[in-house]
Amino acid sequence: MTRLPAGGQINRDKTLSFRFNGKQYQGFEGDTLASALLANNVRLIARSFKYHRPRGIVSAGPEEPNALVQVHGTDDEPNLRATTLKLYEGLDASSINCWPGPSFDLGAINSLLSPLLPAGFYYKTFMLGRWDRYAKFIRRAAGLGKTPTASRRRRYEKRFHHVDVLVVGAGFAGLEAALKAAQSGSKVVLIDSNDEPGGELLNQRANHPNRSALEQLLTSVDGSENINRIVRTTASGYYDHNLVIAVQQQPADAAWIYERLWHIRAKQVILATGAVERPLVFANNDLPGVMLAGAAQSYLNRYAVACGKKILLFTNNSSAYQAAFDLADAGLEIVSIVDARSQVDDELLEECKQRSIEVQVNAVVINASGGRRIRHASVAGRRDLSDYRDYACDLICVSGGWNPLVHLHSQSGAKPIYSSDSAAFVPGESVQNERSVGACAGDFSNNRIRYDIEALWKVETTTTFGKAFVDFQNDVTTADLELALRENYSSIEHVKRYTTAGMATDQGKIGGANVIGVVADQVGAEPGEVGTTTYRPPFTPVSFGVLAGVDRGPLILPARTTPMTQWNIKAGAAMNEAGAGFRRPFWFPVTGESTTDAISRAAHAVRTKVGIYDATPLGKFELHGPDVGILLNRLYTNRFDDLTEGQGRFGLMLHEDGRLLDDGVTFRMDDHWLMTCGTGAASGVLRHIERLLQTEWTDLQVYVVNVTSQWANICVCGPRAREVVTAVGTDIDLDVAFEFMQMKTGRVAEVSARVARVSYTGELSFEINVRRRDAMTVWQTLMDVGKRWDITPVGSETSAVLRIEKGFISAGTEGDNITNPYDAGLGWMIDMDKGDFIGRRTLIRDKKLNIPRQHVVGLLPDDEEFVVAEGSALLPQANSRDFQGHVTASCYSPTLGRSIALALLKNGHNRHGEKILISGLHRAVSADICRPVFYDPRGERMRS
Amino acid sequence: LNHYDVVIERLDAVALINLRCEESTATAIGDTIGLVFPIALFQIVETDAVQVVRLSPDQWWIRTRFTEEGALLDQLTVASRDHFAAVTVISDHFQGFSLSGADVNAVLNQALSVNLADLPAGSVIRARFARTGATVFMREPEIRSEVFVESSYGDYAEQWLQTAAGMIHEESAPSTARL
Repeated sequence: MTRLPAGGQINRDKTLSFRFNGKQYQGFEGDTLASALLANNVRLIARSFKYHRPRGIVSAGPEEPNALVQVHGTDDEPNLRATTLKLYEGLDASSINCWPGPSFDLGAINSLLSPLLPAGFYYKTFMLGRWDRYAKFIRRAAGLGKTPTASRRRRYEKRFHHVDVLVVGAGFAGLEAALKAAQSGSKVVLIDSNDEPGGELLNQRANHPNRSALEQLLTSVDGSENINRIVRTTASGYYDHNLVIAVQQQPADAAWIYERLWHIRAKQVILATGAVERPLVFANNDLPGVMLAGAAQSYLNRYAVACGKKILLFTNNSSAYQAAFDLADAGLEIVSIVDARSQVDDELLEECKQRSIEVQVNAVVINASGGRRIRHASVAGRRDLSDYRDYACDLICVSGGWNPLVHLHSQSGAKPIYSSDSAAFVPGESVQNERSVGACAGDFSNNRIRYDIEALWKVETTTTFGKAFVDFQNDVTTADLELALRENYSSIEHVKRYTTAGMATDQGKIGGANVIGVVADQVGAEPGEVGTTTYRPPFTPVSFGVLAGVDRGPLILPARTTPMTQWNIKAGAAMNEAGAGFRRPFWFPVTGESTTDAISRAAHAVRTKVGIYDATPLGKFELHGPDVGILLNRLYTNRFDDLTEGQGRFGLMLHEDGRLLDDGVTFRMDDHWLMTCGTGAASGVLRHIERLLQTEWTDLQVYVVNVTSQWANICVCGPRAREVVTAVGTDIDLDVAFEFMQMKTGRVAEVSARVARVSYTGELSFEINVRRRDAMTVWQTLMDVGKRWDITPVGSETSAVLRIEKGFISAGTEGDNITNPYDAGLGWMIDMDKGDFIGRRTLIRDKKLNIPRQHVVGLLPDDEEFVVAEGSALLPQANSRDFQGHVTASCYSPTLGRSIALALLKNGHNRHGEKILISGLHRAVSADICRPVFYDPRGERMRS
Repeated sequence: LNHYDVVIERLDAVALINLRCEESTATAIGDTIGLVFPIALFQIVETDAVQVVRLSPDQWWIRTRFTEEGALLDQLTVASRDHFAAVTVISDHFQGFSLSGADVNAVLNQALSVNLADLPAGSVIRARFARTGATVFMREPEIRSEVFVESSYGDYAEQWLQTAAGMIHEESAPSTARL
């Protein structure tokens, strides 16, 4: 055990048991998994992504690139950072990206093959042949943890919030900023990813001089009514108009929620996100036991864990000395401080002297050696690398300086700038109402550290020692960067993409600056000239669960219902999405019946007896005003202003380009008009009309009101439909005087109703429109009374068969944004003499151009039992590349006892009687081209 | 039973009548039948059993008890006869829900991106609500609101509200071990 007998901010009274890679360990309340593993002397935590090199814990925070673990059990979750994963009783975690384990990993063979696997290896090697053959192997080898497959019981939530000032980060600077804003009268939200406020001060020793000031500040903050401090909340994205997305873990106000996603809109955002330490780049700097100096200090002061007994510290700045002093004062041996700078502050040297710590100035570590943990460090003078000396040690603490966390600043649209004083990128000019304070602005004064630094992006060394890593998580080395530059990827954005540096889950938090520095050195430029890559959300990985929130399972997509939906479900209907979010019955199978049989049985019932279907989802709009007739004349290709009360007419609505937009029937009522349109097109049609009325035809006095859900529509269809509707009781005369395309009002089944004679099946049909709340009463009465005529519920697939038999055009099927009404055989619906209408000009142009177009035709396959696939190509003969059209709709017609299809075919109107080859995915079949009306071509049955 | 202190109830006995006309016409119609039509957008004017809300420059909702729907419709129809106006019953086109309790805003904040603090009692908003759209009446801020969605979205909205309210059911025992 490396736990010190005293100190730390852990609760030693509460011991917690946990498992890691199958072994049982113990830690304390207040530990992270990382601190508990280190306390149990577990150093080898993971294997690296590409070369499967042994890796240990590098940091003590969310920037951790190595120690990613998979948590098992009910909390199964991949890629959690051991450095932020709070220890709890029963935690069961394991390493990822290794098999059978991190100590012996078969994937480590990649390390031997590493000369063959430089940056860009994939792009160069797998460009030959079929990529899909390689892809599955590469994808299997890549990746990190395993996605859980079991359904979660966890609850997630999303919240919108508005506030005057949002402060991100509750370190010293963030607390100060929040208090000042609150004192000025602003409402403040202060978020922090930790349980406790204090930021970097939490990593310092208990008697740090700023501790008491922090406590006073915290008392004032928590006493302010204007400040809402939210803990365990990480800002993950910063978007336009000062919108910050933050993820809160287990909110204190709602213990049943696992994570909450905040959408916080702030008038001003203050970023106090601090800074993270970066490593130094030398050979084998990735071995377990190379750790950031600040992390070793944090494990010591927060968790009372000694990460090593013989410690060598390598730095290029003054901040790391305090870590050395804390470690030394805890009784640990500092074998040497290797400082790359040419000059060190006398005060620091004096403190080292008091502790008998050797300091080597103008020196560097050129290599670390060991197997699964550090054994030696090789130290040389900066000017003469060949003359080096080995130090035995079990921990190398490194500090290459501090990277202000400018991620959110960058996400806000601003551009970080390079500061040579702090050898780091700091916030540039704000582009939103945002400012950065404290360490994330490059100001480290709150921790009373005198911060002197000399930039050192990499230690020049020979390749005989091994790889020097700039990005631990994606295994990117200095050699990879040099290769990218040699191959002319000069932009830092291109270097990033070619090498994948900074593209992993840690987003290059600790290594990004070194990547830029190495590239700058290589091209002879300043880091500021190279610039940063774009920081993108999320700042730290975000779970899919919290992104979904409550919108999971049945709430993923809103399912729109009609009053008959539950009846349909109880009747055993196969329900499915049928446009605009409506769930509709596709067919109603009875026991032991196939889908095809169920569809055919219902179609046969409509042709011979009576069927009933729920047409409620059709779009319905009331049009009011004196100019409705003029409006409809302009919207549709045919005339409407001559309709009299109670009459309806089928209309074609076109886009400006003359292509089919929608079709439907519009009735003239007593004091208004009722327009119907396709389910899926309804919202688009309403927008279309409103846009025209509000922007183009402002002179027209027309109001449009959506009544789609006000009225349920029950269609009774078939030769016995009149008898059924009469039998349920109605005061409407349903006799032949009630003509096709008329609407009458009255009562049906003792309910007020509007009954229309329209037909989408080709049979005698009555569409009974009643208020939504009355619909089930009418439906159930029709079903009960209709038993005498064997009334059959009809789904939309049956409806499709019936419309194909009749050759009724579907605007969303035969109309494919190319088809015009002439192509669809609907030229009889165009009235060129009535005046202008939308699409008229293009129709005239289409005719004058006289270019061969695809027309709607019918097809009768030679194999009468074979139902061709919709979408099949139409070819003159086998193996031809002369694509002449495609099948738009196809079915087995129970009425005709054979397969039929509708298609769009080049010059189809003039090819009736010819043969064409229908080429499907698995089979080709010859077919006769014919008129697209297979049943009752004169329409006598629906007018009967 | 919900984790949040919210009671969700369907509003089935509500009559809604949609009026589209110019502002001057609305005033004239109101004068005729003794109703005050609000001039300010998204404001409710309430008299005994009738509430009138202006939803757009040329649209009002008149709301009353369902039993009064026919009488109110007749009044409005007669009063608007000589004007360019559209009077339409939409009671069934919308499904209303009442939300009451101390945590009403905790539920509304999950669905609405607007700042609820800007919405005093007697105001109305139309906005995206969860994955549909809604008209929300702020009756008593923070403790009582009403949400109206197109009725085909009624079942979805009810389930969504119950889930957002943290409806307690056995299989949703939270996993709290990690923290």
